[in-house]
Amino acid sequence: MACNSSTCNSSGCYKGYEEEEQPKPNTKAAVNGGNSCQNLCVKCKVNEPVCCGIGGENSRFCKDCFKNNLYGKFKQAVTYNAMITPPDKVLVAFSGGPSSRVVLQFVHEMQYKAQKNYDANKDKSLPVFGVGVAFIDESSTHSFTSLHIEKAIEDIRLIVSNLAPPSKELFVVPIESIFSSDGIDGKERLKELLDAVSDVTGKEDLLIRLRILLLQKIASENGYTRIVLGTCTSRIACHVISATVKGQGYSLSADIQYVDSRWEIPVVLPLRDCPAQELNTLCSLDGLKIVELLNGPCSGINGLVSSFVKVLQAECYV
Amino acid sequence: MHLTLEFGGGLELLCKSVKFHNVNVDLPKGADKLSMRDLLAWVRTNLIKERPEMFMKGESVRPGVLVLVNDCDWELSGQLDTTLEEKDVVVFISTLHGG
Repeated sequence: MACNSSTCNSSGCYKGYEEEEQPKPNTKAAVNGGNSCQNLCVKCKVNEPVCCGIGGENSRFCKDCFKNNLYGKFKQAVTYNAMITPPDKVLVAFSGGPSSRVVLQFVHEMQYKAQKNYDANKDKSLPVFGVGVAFIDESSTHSFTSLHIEKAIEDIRLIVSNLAPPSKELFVVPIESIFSSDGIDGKERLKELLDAVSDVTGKEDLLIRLRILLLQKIASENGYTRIVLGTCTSRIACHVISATVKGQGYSLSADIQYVDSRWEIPVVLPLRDCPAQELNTLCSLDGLKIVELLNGPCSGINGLVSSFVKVLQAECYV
Repeated sequence: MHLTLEFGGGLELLCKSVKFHNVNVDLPKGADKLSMRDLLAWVRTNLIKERPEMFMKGESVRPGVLVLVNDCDWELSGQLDTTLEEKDVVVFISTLHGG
């Protein structure tokens, strides 16, 4: 099982894999005596900041400290909540968007370091956890051209194949396979189901539910022990408001935990402490490829709440 | 002034689904510098083909839109007062869509 001790140094403990890169001292700043604190990274106080975290004035980071800070939040969530342990096989839900791209990248980096350590260790008592990736093809519910979706799937295959070694199995599963029967029948049944819901918000929420059920199905049929979602702080904030508005208060507290154990395969949220803008910034700075299949802005309650949360954020630091 | 603009996170849908734009922006009359404020106005007029309220609010970008100038958050270079130079790269990313 995962070790929750912050001082553990045993060979299998993932705590040891966290490497804080030491910044190279910038002689110019040292000579000046570092007086211009306004223009220095708040972490290393050496390099010029390029990113603004969510804390406004207090979170101006240089690129390296920004990356380390974000990865650190991920690692902390994983370790303190025992999200990923050596015998686990984790299924990362990858939508192609920025949050799931970052969680995929971070899970890969963690697995890569675990593999290197395993290879270097004579005592091979603890295995390296396995990682699979699942992409749900929702083209039957949208109006994308088949060329568009095919290109997107190709891009996703490329992204996943480049995140090796260790190699990861990729599942590209159409949303209609939530119904056990195959192909055409599934599409018809899905259409019937969605058409039965007359409001936009209801349809969106139903799709969200179907996605998680399908992920559970994929995980359970392929021996995965955890499902990893890229759900970020911003999404949690939106969910708190939208669930309240929809009268879903009873399930709300369980919806926003780091680990959701209500499911057969527990669902974990390692990016719960990372706001969307930081994840987007990381993708941009690090050139992490995103595959975007967008249908335009959401017009229901979920979209309204998302915009509202952004307005609140913007006004907080005025 | 020649600039490269990139739109992501769904904003490209407002510019006919084109993500990258190599543009040539004229400095405003009488000015010797181009600011982000000037660029935003130019973008609204020349590149945004639909729903401008999804991109801008007043003279700034809509809340939830991340702006990076040469890989640096514009909050750190003065936001709307950031001055642009020849061949600068400006990235606009909407964070309204999850992922």
